[in-house]
Amino acid sequence: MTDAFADDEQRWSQLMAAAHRGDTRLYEQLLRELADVIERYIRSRFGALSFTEDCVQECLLAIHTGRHTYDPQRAFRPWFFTIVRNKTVDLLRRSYAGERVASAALGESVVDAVEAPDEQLSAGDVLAQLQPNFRSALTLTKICGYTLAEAAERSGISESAMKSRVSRAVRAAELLLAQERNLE
Amino acid sequence: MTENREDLILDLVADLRPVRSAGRIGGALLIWLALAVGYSVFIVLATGPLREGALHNVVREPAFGVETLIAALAIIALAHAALRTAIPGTSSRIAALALPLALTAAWIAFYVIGLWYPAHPVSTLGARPHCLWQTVLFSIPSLVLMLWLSRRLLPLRPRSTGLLAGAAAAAIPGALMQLGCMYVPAHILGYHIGPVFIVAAIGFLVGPIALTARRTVPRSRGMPMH
Repeated sequence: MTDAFADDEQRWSQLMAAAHRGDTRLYEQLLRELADVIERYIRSRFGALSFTEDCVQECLLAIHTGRHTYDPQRAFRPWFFTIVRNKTVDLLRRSYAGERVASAALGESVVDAVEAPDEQLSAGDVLAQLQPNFRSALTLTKICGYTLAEAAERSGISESAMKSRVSRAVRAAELLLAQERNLE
Repeated sequence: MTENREDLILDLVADLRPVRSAGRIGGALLIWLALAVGYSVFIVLATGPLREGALHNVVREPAFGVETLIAALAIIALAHAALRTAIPGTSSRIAALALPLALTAAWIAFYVIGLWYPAHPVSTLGARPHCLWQTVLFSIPSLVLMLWLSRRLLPLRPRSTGLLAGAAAAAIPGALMQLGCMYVPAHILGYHIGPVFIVAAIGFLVGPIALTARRTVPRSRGMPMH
């Protein structure tokens, strides 16, 4: 364990213990630090997801509502990263449903709103470890923001096959994230 | 940092209240066990007598006593695991399930072995005509209580939490039925242990509904969360 790793662990634990007592100044410091960590975590594993900011905010909200479940006698990282992983996978699952609703409401393809989708491609750790067809499915739907139909058309498969592929890709990503438990 | 995130952090800080750490679940576990066991004993006794000599046999028949003890340990382990899955980072899903599943399997194994070597003299004395549905119905309040206690934590895997909560809730009346209904291993497996799987399945299905309602924080500045 590096010094910085241990320092972060101890500081976050102390800041959360202070938050339990109601110290708003230290709680704000904690949330700001964690927000940056969450963003780096997501970018390092998935590249530039189209909903990274949503994910950061979902995680912060979960940390806030569940802060009482952190036991200051235990390590902070396992508690924190369990929340982050879970919320990230939740959003991966939910995002394309939301995109379809948004797309229908706006009457336009979500991809039209992305100026240069190719530039947003980035091989995060998790994406890089996925099978090529899973990586492609997640990249098209979660990073480029294509709808299922558009992603299916570009991949030359049916929409239902793409839906299934995205679902299995999310599951594979979830398993890869779960394997990181030992590295925390 | 985006403006929305900045707003959210300020809202969360403004919403901060002192809290007591619930990272240790002993208190919630004891509350649940006391209320669920107390209620289950009451309802089982209120709907019919215990089988004649059943309590005496717990002491007199060592294998029956061990079987009852394993059932009690399985209930505690299932309830503990249900609550533990509602606290992030305490263990992996496999580690959380290992002990309760092992104890539940051991409990069931007693009846499977009992098909040939029963732990207690086989008897139809004390038979209850609707023991399967009684066990299912009697377990619902305990399931609701466990879901409520879990909901107060942070259940990130609501299906696992619901499944374990359902199994724990039904295991109590299921175990009591071995004192309150007839002792025939094949009957016990189908009509007393079977409901444990039924209610666990109910918990698995209702868990995501009961445990994942969105909690919101009053937003004073930014746009609502989407």
